[in-house]
Order: sequence, then structure tokens, then C-alpha cells
Amino acid sequence: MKEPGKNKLDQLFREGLSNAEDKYAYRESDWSAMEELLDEDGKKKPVGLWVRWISGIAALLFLAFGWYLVSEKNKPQQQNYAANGRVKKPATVAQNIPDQTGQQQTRAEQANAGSTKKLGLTKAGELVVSAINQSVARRGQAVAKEIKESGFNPSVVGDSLTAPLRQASEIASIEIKPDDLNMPALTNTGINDTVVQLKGSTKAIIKSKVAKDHSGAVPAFALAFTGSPDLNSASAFKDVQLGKNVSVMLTMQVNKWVFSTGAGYAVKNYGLGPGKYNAPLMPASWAQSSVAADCKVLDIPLNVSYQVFSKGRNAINLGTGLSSYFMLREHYDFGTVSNSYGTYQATYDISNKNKHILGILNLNATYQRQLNPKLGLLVQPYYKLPLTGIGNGKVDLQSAGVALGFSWNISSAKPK
Amino acid sequence: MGEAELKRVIEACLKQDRKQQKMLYKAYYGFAMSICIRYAGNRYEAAEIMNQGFLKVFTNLHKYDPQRPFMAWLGRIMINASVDYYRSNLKIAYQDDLEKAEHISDDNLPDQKLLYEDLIAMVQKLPQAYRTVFNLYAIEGYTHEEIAAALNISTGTSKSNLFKAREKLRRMIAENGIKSPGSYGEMSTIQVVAISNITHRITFVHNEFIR
Repeated sequence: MKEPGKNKLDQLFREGLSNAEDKYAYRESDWSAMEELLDEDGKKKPVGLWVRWISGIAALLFLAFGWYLVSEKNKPQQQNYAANGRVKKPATVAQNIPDQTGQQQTRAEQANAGSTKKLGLTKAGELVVSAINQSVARRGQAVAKEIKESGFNPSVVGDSLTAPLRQASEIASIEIKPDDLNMPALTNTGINDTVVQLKGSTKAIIKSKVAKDHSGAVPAFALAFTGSPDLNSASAFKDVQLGKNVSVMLTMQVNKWVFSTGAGYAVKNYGLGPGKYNAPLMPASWAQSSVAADCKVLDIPLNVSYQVFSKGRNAINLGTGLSSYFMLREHYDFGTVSNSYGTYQATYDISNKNKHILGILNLNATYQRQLNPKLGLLVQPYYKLPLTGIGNGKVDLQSAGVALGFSWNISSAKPK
Repeated sequence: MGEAELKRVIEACLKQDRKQQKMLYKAYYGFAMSICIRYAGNRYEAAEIMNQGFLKVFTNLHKYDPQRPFMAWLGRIMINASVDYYRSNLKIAYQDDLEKAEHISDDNLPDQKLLYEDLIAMVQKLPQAYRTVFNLYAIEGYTHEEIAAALNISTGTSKSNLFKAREKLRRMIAENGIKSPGSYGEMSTIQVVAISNITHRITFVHNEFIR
């Protein structure tokens, strides 16, 4: 602050404009507008809670991801397939078979030490199990052999194509215990019938075991990079203008559900005719002009989608969610405007003023084609519907487009 | 509003008592409006700025130090709201031919006070960038460095805008023949003779005449 200047003009205005409070009589309409502001401010408080919720969910996602990475690192290599999708040679699978059968036989021999009656029943049960296990192993070996003979080279193809081979090796390595079979009390005369009956149900048991192994809710994480031309309109797509957007998303897939969040940068252009744009603090002369808007937006989505189709390397998800728009920069051009003082080019710039927390509904469908275990191609038609007025003029800004991009698996999840 | 009553009203406002909020608003309406109107183009805009200022008052009332004058605190908030209005809303690309026009000296200014209505009308006619700097410098007493920081402009721009604001105000006084009562005499005036629709430039002519 400085001492009042001695400039004569400044002094003239300073003195002439001072002590003017009596010039402005109170207006009830101004208080009504004030009350609206106070009410709006009161409603904003829950938004703070939402922000905390979003932050919490995002933090949980990242924590889960961190936990998963750590546990994956510490996990011993117990499975028959390596993390990169390659499988062990079928010969190795075949070598394992006598060992497993041998183990069963050893157990059966150990059981001989029991009581005579019980020994008989246990022995019968063990024989059944042994027979089934051998059958299962043979079946797995046959499938693996068949695939090998067809000239299939698992080291050069994608994850989805190695799935049958893995399944074969898994089948071969499955050990079925008497408890799995829910065996009835066996009699010597009924053993043969029971073996036949149980062999018939082996397929169902194997399926159940394989499904059980894969049903663990271990999340699979991926990054998705997309870009698209963005069709924008503030007049129900009557006047559409082209913008663009790019985004980076972190996705977490648990079974068929995919949760995703990330950030997108969008350039949203739109136009409105004379009298259709009305912002607070807008001179009346401007409201009579048409406006061309150019907005830079940070889009933070929180989406969930469900896999409705999955076959081989292709998958289709349908998703929805909510986006928060942070209006980084808003530029409005009203063209040439006249007032009592002259004619001028009226533009209107705002930076980082407006934000719309969870104010946009996202609807999308995603087609994904897996190119290899890590890389996938994405095509995503989307539609963004505002639940609140967007930008300084609170316009009904809708966006649609088809995003193209790719996904990159950052965790070695179990194959589907 | 007396000191004791003000204290009571503030305490009630802190509890979000809408009736007492209205009472505070009503009591300081004229004072707040007299500040905001100087930064606005019209009363509608002034009311918008003032309400944004009062919103800050109501939401930051817990920060008010009762040892200090309430009006000074309120006035500062209203000025800040006006500066926010400048920063966030209007940046008009305004061009004129000021450089080509002749400088008018302060000798042509009337010696006595002018009517409030005339002065405020002239200030409101200034482009917003000039008006804001003129208010902050000439009326509120900010330095160019403070203004530059508040408006996110350079000190050079602040000085330039102040110079242009003063020039325009001098011309308006001369153009409109505004004078203090009883000071009729030799006047010089500036007339707008052309406004270009292509370049949007306004051309002034300096006339001398005797009333």
C-alpha cells in the first residue's frame, strides 16, 4: 500500500467516490441471489466426502496392486506353466505320471496296516482312485501329445492359444482323492460297477477342480492407453464440433468385472447460438452473441465394466461409471460486441475455476483383442452424458466417440 | 449496527443462522456495493461480485479478528472479490487509438468535486483492465507491484493500464463537458468521430470550443 497520490485526477475520483454507501439502497432480489449461493455452498460439502471416497478407492486399488506384485515375486514356481505363458514339455508331464501313481500305491500299501474290514474297504477305494488318476493322466497326456503332433509351437503364440496345452498338463497333474469322489461304502462285489460309475463322472470332477483353481479372486492389472477424436455438442448433437482426447487408465480385472480409473486430457469445442449461452457476471451485450467455446479438460473417470463375451483372444466388455471434469482452461469467443463505448472483440478466459466432481455419466463398450500375453488392442465406443451443467455457462455438454488404443498387462495373472 | 450487536450477529452467523446472515448482509449492503460498483460495468455485475464477496465473508467469518474493524475486513474481501472477478472472467482484447490522440493535461480538470453519479458512470465505462488498475491504484492505494501480483500482470502493464485509464477519464470529462457547478467557461472536448467495424478502432478528435 502507498500513501494517497497527489495526481489531481486520482484525487478527484478518490474523493468523489468515497462515502457512497447511502447511494445504494438494499434490494431484496440481491439477497435472494445470495441465498441461492449460500444454499449451493451448503450442497458442495458432500462433494468433499465424495472426493475422499474416490481418493480412498484409488488408494485401495494401488495398494492391492502393490500387494499383488509383492506376493507374486515371493511365490515359488509351483505351477506347470511359466508366467510368460510357455508350458512345460508334454514329456515332463508324462514323466510325472508314474510318480503320482506310485504315491497313490504307497498310500494304499500304508493303509494295509489297518484293521481287516477297514483294510478291505480302504484298499478298494484306493484302487478306484488309482484307476481314475491313471485315466486322468492318460487323458491329459493324450491331449498334450495330440497338440504336439499337430506342429503347434507354444513359444511363439499367444496366451490364449496355449490354454488347451496348459489344460492338458493340468489335467494330467490333478490328483483325485477319495474325499473328492464322495465314495459310498464299497463292497467287494460292487467295486467294478462303482469304478465304471466313477470314471463316468471323472470329467465333471476335473472340470470342477480346474474351475476351482482358476476361481481365486486374484486381480489382474493392466494399463490402457487410448486416444480418439471427440464429438462434442452443447445442443443435443444438433451442432457437433470435433475435439480430441487421450487417456491413460489403470484397470483391475477380478473374474469378469473390470474396475478402472486414470486420467484423460480432452479438448472440447462447441458452439451455441445467440442468447443460448448465459454465464454469471456476463455483460448483457455478450449474451446476445453466439459463442465459440474451446475448453481444455482433465477427465478423471471411475468406471466399472462387465465382460459379456470372451472367446479365444477376443473379449467384449460393457461399462459405466462417473467422471469428474476439471476445467483447466475455458476460452469463449463472442465475436464482435458493441456497447455504449465502442465495438470490440469479446473473449472470455477462465483457468482452473470450474470442476464437476462425478458430474458426468460414462457409458462405453470395449472390444479387446489380445495380440500376445502382454499386449492387447482396444476399440472403445463411448458416450459421456453430463449430470450437471458443464463449464462457466453450465451447458449440457455431451461427448461421444470411438477411442482406439492398446492395453498392456502389468501383472502375470493366471490365464483364462 | 453497534459493536455489541455486530458481535451477536457474527456469532449467530457462525452458526449458519440465515436470519442473522440476512441482517449482516442488509447492514453492510450499501458499503459493499459502493466498492464493487467501481469494479463492475453495471449494477447487475456489481451485485454478482458483491454476493461472491459476502459468500467469502460468511464462509470465513471464523477467521475474522474481532479486535479489528469489521468494515475494513469486509472492504478488503470485497476488493479481493473484485480482483477475482477480473482474474477469472473478463480479459477483453480492447484496442483504441489512444496513442494517436493528443494528451490532455490536468489543467482542464475542474477544481471542485464532481457529482458521484458522473464519476461512477465514467469509471464504469472504462475497459475492465483499465478500470481495475485505476481503482486499485488511485482509489485503494495499491502499488504497481501489488497490483501486478494481484492481477497476474507485469508492473509495466499495470503502469500502462493506469496511464490509459487516466487518459480515458480525462477525455470523458472533456467529451461530456462534465464540470463542477459554477465552473462554466472555456472547455476542450474530445469527440468520437469514427468507429471502424473492421479493425474495431475508435478515432477521437480533439475539439476546442467556448461555452
